[in-house]
Amino acid sequence: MAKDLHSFIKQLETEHPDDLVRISKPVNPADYDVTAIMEHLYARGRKPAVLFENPTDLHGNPSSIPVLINVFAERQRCATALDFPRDQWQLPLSQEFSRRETQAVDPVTIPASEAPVKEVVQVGDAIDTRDLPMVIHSEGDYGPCLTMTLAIKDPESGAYNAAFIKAFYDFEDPQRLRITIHSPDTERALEYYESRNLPMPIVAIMGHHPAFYLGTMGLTPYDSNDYRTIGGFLGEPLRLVPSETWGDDFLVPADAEIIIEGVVPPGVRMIADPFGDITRQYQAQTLRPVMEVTAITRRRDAILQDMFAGHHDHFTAGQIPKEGTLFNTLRKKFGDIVTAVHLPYSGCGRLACYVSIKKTKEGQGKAVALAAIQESWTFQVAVVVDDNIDVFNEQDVIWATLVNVDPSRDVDMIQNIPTVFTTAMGYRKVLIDATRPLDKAIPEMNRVPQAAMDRIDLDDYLPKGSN
Amino acid sequence: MQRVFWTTCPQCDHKLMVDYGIRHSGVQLECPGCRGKYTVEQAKTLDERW
Repeated sequence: MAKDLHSFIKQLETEHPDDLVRISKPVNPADYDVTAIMEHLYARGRKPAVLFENPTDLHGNPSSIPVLINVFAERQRCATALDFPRDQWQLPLSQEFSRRETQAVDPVTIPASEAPVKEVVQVGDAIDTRDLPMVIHSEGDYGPCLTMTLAIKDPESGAYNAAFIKAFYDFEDPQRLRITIHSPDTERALEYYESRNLPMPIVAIMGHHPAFYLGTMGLTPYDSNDYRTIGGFLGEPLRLVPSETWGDDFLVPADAEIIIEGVVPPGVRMIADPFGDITRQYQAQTLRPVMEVTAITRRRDAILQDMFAGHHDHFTAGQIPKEGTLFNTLRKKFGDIVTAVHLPYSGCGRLACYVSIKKTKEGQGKAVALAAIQESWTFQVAVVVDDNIDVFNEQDVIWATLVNVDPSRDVDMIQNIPTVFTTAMGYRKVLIDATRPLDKAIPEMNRVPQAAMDRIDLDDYLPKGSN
Repeated sequence: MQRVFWTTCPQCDHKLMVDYGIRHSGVQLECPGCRGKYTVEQAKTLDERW
């Protein structure tokens, strides 16, 4: 059996039952029931995946399509998605991601008769996005919003590119969505089509095995085929099937839960947003492209997958792949002096990167920071520390910054580099070399002798039963 | 940073943050509070501090 969201849910319930909560009580996702329940769970320190079995759709009727949210919130759960040991959830998991990124597997195409996502096909007048139990996430959001991945096909290379988007319900036309296109690759494709006054084919993939989505989050080149990359993450070929709208000319994932096919008409923009997004801030209302829906296909037992935007679910999904890619890139450039990388939750898994190095000469910290900041357009701050600092321990990273950094020399700002984020830092990026200077006589970090640490067995000293 | 400004819906007083790129476009904003539409000029209040 091919990997899909149903197989992952089954795996969680078998191997890690605490990782999935089923809620059978009816909820209205368009009235904040889903996100309010999630916020309460987070407040209790719990971040399970949650399956809402009885949501209402946008008509207000009970929906046969459950909503699954928060799949990516825990790094350990992401490890399970890759069949990777959960106790290696820090850098080894990121490295596994970067390894998978280089293990592309060619997809296979299967007939529609064998594709689960073709069990229900809606075209023409049967298309109604109100049939979906779409979620409104944050107070003041524009409206119900789909939060998972879209795929486009580069018309020149034929490569498929997949990226997370937002697709807002259109209150004026239930056969249209208002979409945000903000990944550089997708923007580039849209520019290609619009410059030729052509509609851009696009599909939204609303539910699949989490390894599928994690495979879309790497920092792979524009012309690499994301369907191949995703196969590396799944550990098996991604099964594809001809789309309803374009047939063999545009293939879609056969084991997805729901596929929405459509076209982005050139030059059309409509109002969309606000949306409480990745930086935990709202994106401002603006004009966005639209997607005219041409088909909705789904499984009979389809689940609508959603992202708990602006929370760990959202942060982690991008954090781990970017860590892996960043680590690979820095290792290629600087070799073994690069010991670890982390994109902290304080930076929403996007805005900041922490890198540790085994520094051998003065200036390496700045050189590494400069290379790191260029690796993703989302990075606004790069902090480089020594290898005795655990980059996953933010308190230590900030300590190193506070004691090692001479702001007149170790902090640099690069100006006028665009971002879609609305942080006050804006179009600026900051490099911080927080490694201990080698060219100055300054104090070292205090420590207990290693020999003493090694000879002490703590359990020999603590009262029995305490820990 | 991307410049934004705030408007207040003339129908329901809902505060709405808007991309400054459409400040002078004449496009109708859409209020998430009441689903009403209004232009920037029709907004009850504007906060364009920068």
